[in-house]
Amino acid sequence: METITAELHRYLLERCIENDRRAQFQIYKLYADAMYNVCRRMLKTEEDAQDILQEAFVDAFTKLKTFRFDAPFGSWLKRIVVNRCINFLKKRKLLVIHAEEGKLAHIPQPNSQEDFQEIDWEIDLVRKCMEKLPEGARVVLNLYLFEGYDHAEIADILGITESTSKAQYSKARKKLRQIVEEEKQKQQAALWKIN
Amino acid sequence: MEDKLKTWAQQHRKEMDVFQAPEFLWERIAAQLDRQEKTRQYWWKNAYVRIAASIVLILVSATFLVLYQRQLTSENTLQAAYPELKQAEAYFKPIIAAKMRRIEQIGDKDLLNLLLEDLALLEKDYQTLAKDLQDHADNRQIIQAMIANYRSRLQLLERILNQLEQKQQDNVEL
Repeated sequence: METITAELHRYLLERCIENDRRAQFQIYKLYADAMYNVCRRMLKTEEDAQDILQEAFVDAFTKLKTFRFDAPFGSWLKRIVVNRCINFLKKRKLLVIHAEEGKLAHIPQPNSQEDFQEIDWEIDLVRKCMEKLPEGARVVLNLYLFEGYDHAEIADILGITESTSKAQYSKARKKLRQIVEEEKQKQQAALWKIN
Repeated sequence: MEDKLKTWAQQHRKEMDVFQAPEFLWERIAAQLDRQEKTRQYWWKNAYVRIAASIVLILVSATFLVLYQRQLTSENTLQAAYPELKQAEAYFKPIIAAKMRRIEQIGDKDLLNLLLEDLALLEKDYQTLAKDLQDHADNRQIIQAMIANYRSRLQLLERILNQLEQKQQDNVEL
């Protein structure tokens, strides 16, 4: 079953190279939602996410000829989407990542037991809290946690060093925990008032 | 050490995808692809582009044609304009050719090569003179020099031929 799907997929992609609009629509339908969510996580507004998604798909279909079938198409497409988002943020001067080389001596290891278990992480709350992070920290955290890139890949995407990526992630993680805790307390306080 | 936040995020990865791509987006993408294809594939179908290309083509071929014609006629016009030059050429050319053939028959290869080098130098001088004549029309001195050039060639050939024949005779006598 899987090979049939894979072959159909490949066939569709080959039709896409020939600029077959219907095949392109099929591929779009398969990936649009996932890629749109990538954009929404990377960019703050709905309009920006739509614009960038449009550009990314046009870009992908235009240079599909260069796609080698050895890697999954999804990862290839996602990389285009992510790069587009990063370029957009950089252009708007939103994305500034300081290479904190001086602080590298003590990159805090993620001591998860202490900062993870104490609070009950909820996905919606995390998403809301992530928006409050500084842009650089937010992007690195998102790429690492949800887009599934490792630090070497993030370094490559953002044009920073691997250690800067690690440092940014650590910082972002700490900050996120702090924000989540604050939010929790706020919620508690609100509940308490109601009761 | 295991990063529990990362593990947790991976477990809840699917829940993060809460949005749906808006319906109208595909139309925007398709429209943009249409526009792109038109500009990329059919730019040469544009009337202005074609007219411009035709004009360039005509200009280039006309230039080449004129240059070629000019080169072709320059020698003929030169001789037509100066009858004495034409006469001189008609007189010298066959004699020079005959002497050359004779030297080729009896001379050795090294000598022949040296001779050809000298003749080439004279020919180069002649071409320079011919060009001068074109630039400054009706210059008697130049025509005289050109005729002298032919004479020099002939003299050179005769001298060498004489020497060769002398040598041959000596050989026979011995």
